[in-house]
Amino acid sequence: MTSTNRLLNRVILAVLAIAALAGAVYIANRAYPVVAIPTVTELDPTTLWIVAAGALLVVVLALAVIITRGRGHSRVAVSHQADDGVASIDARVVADLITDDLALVPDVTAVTTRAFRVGGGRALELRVSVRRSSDLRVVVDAVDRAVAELDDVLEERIPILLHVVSGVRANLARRQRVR
Amino acid sequence: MTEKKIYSRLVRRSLHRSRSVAVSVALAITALAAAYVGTESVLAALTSPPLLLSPEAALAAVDKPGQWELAGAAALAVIALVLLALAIAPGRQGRHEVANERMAVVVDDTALAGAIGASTAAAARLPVTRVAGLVSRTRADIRVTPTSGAPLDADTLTASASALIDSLDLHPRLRPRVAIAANGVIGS
Repeated sequence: MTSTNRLLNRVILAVLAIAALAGAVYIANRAYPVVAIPTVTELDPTTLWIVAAGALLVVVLALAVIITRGRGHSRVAVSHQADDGVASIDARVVADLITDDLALVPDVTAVTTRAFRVGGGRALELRVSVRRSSDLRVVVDAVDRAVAELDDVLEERIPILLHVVSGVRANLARRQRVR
Repeated sequence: MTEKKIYSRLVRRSLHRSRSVAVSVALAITALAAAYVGTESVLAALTSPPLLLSPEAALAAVDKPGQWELAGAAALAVIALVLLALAIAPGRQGRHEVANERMAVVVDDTALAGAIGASTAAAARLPVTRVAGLVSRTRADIRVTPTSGAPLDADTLTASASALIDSLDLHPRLRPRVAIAANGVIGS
């Protein structure tokens, strides 16, 4: 979960696809002429410099886009601004609080958190690994209670995304007998 | 942004895959190709010998395409189709949204399949290993292997799976389908 513009991702892929297709069609048209395109045989230095400048521009833009993918993560889950300073709480502190509250739920094997910026504020992703064949209603309700306690502790409602996963480690974990 | 908007954004972005990796790889290859073309152009403009192929020789080769050039064109066309598919396909992640007041909740389909399998196994009084669940976007297929001589009622099991699915209030909606194996087993 990042603040990457996903529509831009799709547009870039579409533009590259159209460029590749245009190249393929151009070569195919030369082999089996359908449309007459004038041939270029000699390149004067000005054209070559323009091509080189265009290539440099493409390289710079491509690197700029690659570097800006996946931005928006943050280690800080909550930050309080006051007149005499800022108090911030790390996302791992929140993970520890939630893990503590979920310790008695047998189906939960791990809790991790990641904070990220969304819409001008901060949001928190809680990734809860559960054992296979666990009762999801129980898990979701337990996290709900843990988050309610977290709200009390933080005295603030931060947007939370709960992501329930059943990872490899969760599947290998020993099933606890309760019945 | 209101809380509701933030939550719908969080859920939307979890249910669909990001193309950041595909975009980065495609752009890295494009950047390498552009760097090569730029270098050859500069060398040609300075009338220095080319690294591999001068721009004019490259144009001449493309002008009268041989086997290799046509193979290259075919490869380009395949790459174009893959990129187009990546750009247009919905890129769903195999997850479902669970309605909740306080949080945005997203559950992996594998976890959902396990939960439905377990509740069906409990309803059928069978060990979990005898029930297999498979969850797709709108369907939950549950295969049950009964114990020989103890027939199971598919409708009852479907109802119990439905009850679990309804209690989770999933989106997109899931329809359970229970298939009971014709041959039962003993033991295990």
